Amino acid sequence: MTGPRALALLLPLVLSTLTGCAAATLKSSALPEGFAVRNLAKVDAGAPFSVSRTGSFAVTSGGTLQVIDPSGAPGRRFAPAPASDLSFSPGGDRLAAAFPSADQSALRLFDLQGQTLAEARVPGRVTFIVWRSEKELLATALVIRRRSFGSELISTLYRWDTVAPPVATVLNDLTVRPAVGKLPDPLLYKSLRLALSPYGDEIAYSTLKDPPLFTPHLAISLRHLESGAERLVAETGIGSGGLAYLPDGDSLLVGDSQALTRRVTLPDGKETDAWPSAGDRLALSPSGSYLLLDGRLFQGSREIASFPSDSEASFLPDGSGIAISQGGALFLVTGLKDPKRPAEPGEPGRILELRRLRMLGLITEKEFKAKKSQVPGL
Amino acid sequence: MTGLAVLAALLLSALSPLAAFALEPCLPCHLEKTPAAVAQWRGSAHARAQVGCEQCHGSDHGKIVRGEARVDMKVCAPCHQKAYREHKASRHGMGLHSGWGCTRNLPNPKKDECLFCHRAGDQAPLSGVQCARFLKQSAEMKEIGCNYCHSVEESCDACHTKHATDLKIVRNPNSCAKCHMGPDHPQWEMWQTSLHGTLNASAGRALGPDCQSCHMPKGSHDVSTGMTMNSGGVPFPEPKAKAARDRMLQVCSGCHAPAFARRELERGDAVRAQSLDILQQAESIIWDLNDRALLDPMPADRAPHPLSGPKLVTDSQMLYEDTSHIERLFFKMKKYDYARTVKGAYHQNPAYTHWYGNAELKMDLVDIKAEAGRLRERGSRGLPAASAEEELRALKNRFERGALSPERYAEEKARVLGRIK
Repeated sequence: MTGPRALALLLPLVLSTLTGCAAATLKSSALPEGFAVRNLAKVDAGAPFSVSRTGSFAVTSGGTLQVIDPSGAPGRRFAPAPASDLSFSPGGDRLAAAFPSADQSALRLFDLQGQTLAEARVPGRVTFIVWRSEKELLATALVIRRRSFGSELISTLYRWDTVAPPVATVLNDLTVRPAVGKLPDPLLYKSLRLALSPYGDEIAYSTLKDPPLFTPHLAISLRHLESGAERLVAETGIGSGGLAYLPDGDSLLVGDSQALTRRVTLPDGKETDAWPSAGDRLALSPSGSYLLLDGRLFQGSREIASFPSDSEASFLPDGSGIAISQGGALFLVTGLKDPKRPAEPGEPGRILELRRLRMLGLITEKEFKAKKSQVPGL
Repeated sequence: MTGLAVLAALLLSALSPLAAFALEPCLPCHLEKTPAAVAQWRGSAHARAQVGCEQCHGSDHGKIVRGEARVDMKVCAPCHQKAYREHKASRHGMGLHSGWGCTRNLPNPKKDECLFCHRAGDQAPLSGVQCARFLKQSAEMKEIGCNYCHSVEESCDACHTKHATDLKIVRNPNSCAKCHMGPDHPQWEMWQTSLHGTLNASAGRALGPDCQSCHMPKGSHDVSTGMTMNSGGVPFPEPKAKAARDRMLQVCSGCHAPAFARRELERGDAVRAQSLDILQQAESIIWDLNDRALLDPMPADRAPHPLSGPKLVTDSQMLYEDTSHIERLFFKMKKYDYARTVKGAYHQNPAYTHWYGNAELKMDLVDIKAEAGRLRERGSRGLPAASAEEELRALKNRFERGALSPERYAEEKARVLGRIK
């Protein structure tokens, strides 16, 4: 090999290694006026992250869980293992993380100094963690047991008060056909998604269904946490099923596996709106005005910017920005003008009672609305 | 000449066992192993008609020994076609639509238990009917306590016995008494102590009719002839009931004036309607308690019903175990006392109609009302008035079981919702 030819071959290689040293940039369309992008940290591509009310970010970087401040202070290393999900407590002073191992997951609670406050182990892989209140954590976990005649998928909801062992409720125990059971594990884990209503009284979750002679699909169901009442609200294809409650708690965003994200009313599942994106990666601003769907930022029904479709995102709790994890870096997009979140009703207990009666099927939607309109502050 | 004839007769009679041996290769062994069966067969009409062992039992000795060659109704049917057709059309032929159930999914089913309902190698059951009380039993109880009677669906020998075919046996009311006696339907006792039974015992069958005289007229195997209600005591709809009544009147008119017979049966109808009303009062009380979650224990808090799961069941699949006390009282009321009142009236037995039946039925209602009062009192003791949710739930339950019209349901709901501020 001659010198110039060898150089020509080596140059691209050298350049490709050097790009890792340069500051990563977030590819995007032209951003609306007032928007700005900042690179916050290097993170593991595709790993979950969480944003706290106090402005801290929990990320996984180099396979290690870390908490970083937007000020640029060095990150605090919490645990030397990748987490399957992360979630700051509502007040932002504790971090819950799930660490999967061979056939179980460890649910661990940290303070902001990285000290472990509590730990519990649950079978299977934890797919989602969400705080119901400062005192209760919800987690969904999926167990996959492969057998010759098919695979058993057990979806379980865990309610953990961070003191006693988590309380398990089986959401779905299903044996799927061998072909479905052979789908890649990450796709099967994605079948179990979780969203908590803004009132904290019910969850929306997705589970895999594999009825004989029909196409396997995901069922989106509601479950009232205290009464156990359940309703099926929607069905969607495997591979999607992003879920998010609207701030009113009476509608849900559901991504399908094709090209639409639908807004459905609860609990009857009637479609009232739709956006032209599959909704596999779905984030909603606190007021519900902004919506990031597979990298496309919508304000209402208008698309105002776009980022790479594999962007994982979370809006800041005050609605002023979006944290976007993309291409191995965490970015903060600021300049959003999210309206103030609607005030909570003066008597939330009355709304909770009406919501409970509705989920139990004891009152109709018409009766619910009539009584709700009488609650002060709504 | 006479001497020769006598000699020939003696010779033939001496050789007849040998002739039987030639016909029946089973006999040499079975004379030793099961001599009673052989003796019964020899005295039967089957032996006289030269119907031997193999014609009913088959020739596969291994299958016979393993219990896989049952002599059920299909074996008898080719020769007894009229009886088979009549039987299959009757309540006996339907196994009374109860007494069976698939035990495959129960814990620890007994080996060979499947043969109660399935022929070897045949997945289709003899009856598609499931019985909740059957499914609650042990394998041994299922066999002796349920299927010894309900096997009448597919087994001629349930009445006719196995090898002895003498009609004297099966025409005796005691044949019927094996099943038609006891607390739930004591037809045998109520017939025995009625005027019909007394006349039968004292003056014979010509004057005192027995079970077969009225329920199997002219040798019919349709034992449901003339019945105007199902085995649970629920009256048939009018066209079906009228046709049945006409058939029964024909039977009665063999001895009685038709007008007299009609009056007697119509009096039974009236007693049945009155009894049904008392029964429905009690049933409604229990459903109301269930609507208000006051049963103790509630269906959701006890072993699930084998067919309906954690639900209240008061129909023909009602259980007498794993229920609340008030349901157990209702079971006795419906299955024993209602049945005794109604069947006592149709069998013209005053004591069964009144004291074993009607009086018990009315006392049951007293007990059920008292127990309901206790449950309601306990439900409200020390507690605030029922919450809106409890009231709405009770209303929904009542609406869903048809006890409230849509309009009334809406009105009642509006009243409760008005209390929610």
